[in-house]
Amino acid sequence: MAKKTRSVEVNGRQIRLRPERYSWSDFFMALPAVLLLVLTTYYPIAKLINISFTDWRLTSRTYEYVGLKNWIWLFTSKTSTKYLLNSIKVTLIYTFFNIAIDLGLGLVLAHLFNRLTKPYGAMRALIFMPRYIAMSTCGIIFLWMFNTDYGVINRMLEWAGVQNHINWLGDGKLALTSILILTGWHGVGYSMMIYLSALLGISRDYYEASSLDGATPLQQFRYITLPLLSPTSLFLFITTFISSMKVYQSVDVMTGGGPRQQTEVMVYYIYRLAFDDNRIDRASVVALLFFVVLLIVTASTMRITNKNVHYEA
Amino acid sequence: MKNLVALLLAALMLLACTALAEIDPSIPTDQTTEVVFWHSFTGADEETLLRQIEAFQTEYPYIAVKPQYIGGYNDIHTELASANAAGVGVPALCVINVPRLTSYAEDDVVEDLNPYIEAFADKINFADFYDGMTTAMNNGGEQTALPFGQSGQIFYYNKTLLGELGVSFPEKLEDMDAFLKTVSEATGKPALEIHGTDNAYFYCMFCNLGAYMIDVDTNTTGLGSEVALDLIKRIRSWVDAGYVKWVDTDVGNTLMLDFTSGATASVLYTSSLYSSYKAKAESGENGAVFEVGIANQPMGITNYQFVAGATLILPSCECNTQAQKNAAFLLASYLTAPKQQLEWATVSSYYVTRKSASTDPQYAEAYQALLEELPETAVIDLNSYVSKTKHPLFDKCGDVFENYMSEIMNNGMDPEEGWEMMIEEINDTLADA
Repeated sequence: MAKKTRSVEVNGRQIRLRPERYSWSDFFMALPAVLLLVLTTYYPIAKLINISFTDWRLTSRTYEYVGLKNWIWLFTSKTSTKYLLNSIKVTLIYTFFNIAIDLGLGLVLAHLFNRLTKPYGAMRALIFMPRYIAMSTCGIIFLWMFNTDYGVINRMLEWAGVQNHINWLGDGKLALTSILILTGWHGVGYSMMIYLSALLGISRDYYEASSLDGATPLQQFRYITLPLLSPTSLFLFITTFISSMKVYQSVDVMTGGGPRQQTEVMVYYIYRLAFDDNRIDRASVVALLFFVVLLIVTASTMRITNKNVHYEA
Repeated sequence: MKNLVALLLAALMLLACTALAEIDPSIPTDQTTEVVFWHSFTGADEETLLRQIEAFQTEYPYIAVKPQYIGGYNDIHTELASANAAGVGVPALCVINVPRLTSYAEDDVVEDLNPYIEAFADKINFADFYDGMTTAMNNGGEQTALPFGQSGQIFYYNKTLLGELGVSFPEKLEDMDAFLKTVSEATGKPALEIHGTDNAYFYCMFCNLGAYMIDVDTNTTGLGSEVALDLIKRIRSWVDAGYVKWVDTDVGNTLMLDFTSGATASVLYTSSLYSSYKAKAESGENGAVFEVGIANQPMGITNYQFVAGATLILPSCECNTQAQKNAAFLLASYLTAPKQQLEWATVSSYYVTRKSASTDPQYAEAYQALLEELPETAVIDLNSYVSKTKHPLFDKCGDVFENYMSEIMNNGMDPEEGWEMMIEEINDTLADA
């Protein structure tokens, strides 16, 4: 097998390292994982690209290749552009606020519960607990809570003096907010725990030194905590960003994309095309577009935010 | 000579067609034929279904039925489409809802039942089904499905309250205004709640005034008529006056709770919940004890209602042998027979799909039992049930219709502006086929 000579520079001198050896056994050890990856990730993507050039309806066993017809439909059809742009807009709004809730509230909660005592541990567990419950179950519970006539939220508002029952899920302006409340409640505990572990990793020396220099708690937060939490924030940002862009279950259970497509996120739009309209061909082009958008936005975000990340703690 | 050749060719083609349409109806009796049956029923409905399947297997010991609960209609559709694409795991018999049938027939994924109906003529008296039901399941001459758990869009009303107020539920659309006003003013509550997220319920009113969702000839919507706009404005005025509540979230629970707790005098919903509504109202489970009445859609120019609910299909997959398909059809015939349908209806509130069930003396006892359990069943006129326009984009257009109706009724959208936007969007949808 190939041999590769490497060298490192120590105190201005080049030192040659022992040649790295590769063998077929390395390749075969990795092969099962590679095959699995190809089978479960790359093959479906290739298949998706293939389907996007066909006229395959979900219920039909046969299909024909139609070239760029579906792509032309995507960018020229009046209804497709309308629904597509709407779903992109809804997804971006949802993503923005979900990141704000998860990261912002998660950080606040992490600070509030940053005490290693039993009562605080119990409170942390309470906040993290929703994460253990399946989103579909949470969705059904919140569906009841948001019910206009019998929901506990409107009842509580009634006690507080708001007599008009709010149509949480039927009002286009509030439906997405209701979903954000659910997903925020479900996901904030996770961000809190990640931030907490990062906070515990920051050396107390920084704070002690800054205190001696007369730094206020706010300054300590601004100039020590926040920069040193930046790798964690980047990690949470990227993971929350991707999961927010892919949101589906909560929308499906709570609103079904309604009212009037005002909560129809991209994944739900893809689902509707594939399984309601049976147009798996059209769903494929939207899915591919979504994949490309997600890839570009994630890569750009990482590139931009990486510059402001401090890895030393 | 030329004419003779043409005649011979025509005869040959006819023969070929006949040969194609014929099936071998045999089912081996010396070995077990397995029938996988996907359904969507739970609770008491499923218990009844399983009991009937057991009885079927006693009658046909060489057929082994494997009933499998898959989920709701949408779940079944997804599973069936996946199995169909894979070409394996397709059931021999399957429950699906009426609106799916058009695209299933178009994509050729279901067996045409005509040859089976012919081959098993002694087992199934096909003419005994209500015509509207079988026509709704006929696509381009192919019988796509058999009517099974059929339901309709009916009004439930508080019979006790209406009796006290001395009013009856209107039989004509023109009498609705007076009825809604009287009841709402007397009770201080909405007189009617309408299911707002499934156009099947409120669309009947539009149709009965001559405004149809799709005009097949022009491939545009018929809801663009002034009649439709007037009705939209009229319903909006009912909503504004507090006579009608347009329910568009958590609909099933809200309608049930509002009606059985006395928060409304009537609701427009599915007939398949009759026994459940009746039980809750009579037991006072939600705080109000009253007798439940049911009514057909009020008469406009017509008094159509739409065939809805479950049907039985034979998915066309080579993964099932002809014997399995035959056995599946035999099971479908058994389950849709008058005797089984009466038993099924008594438990589930689904309609009896057979005309003879109420007229043939041999079923008199079972029919009487049904009326004792669900007395208002007799009110339903199954002869007025028809098919909605068979168009693959009907449901998609229906979604647009529902969305705009919700905006107009609940979110303050101007009726005329909403109507114009809706017409444009439905027409765009139809043009996008």
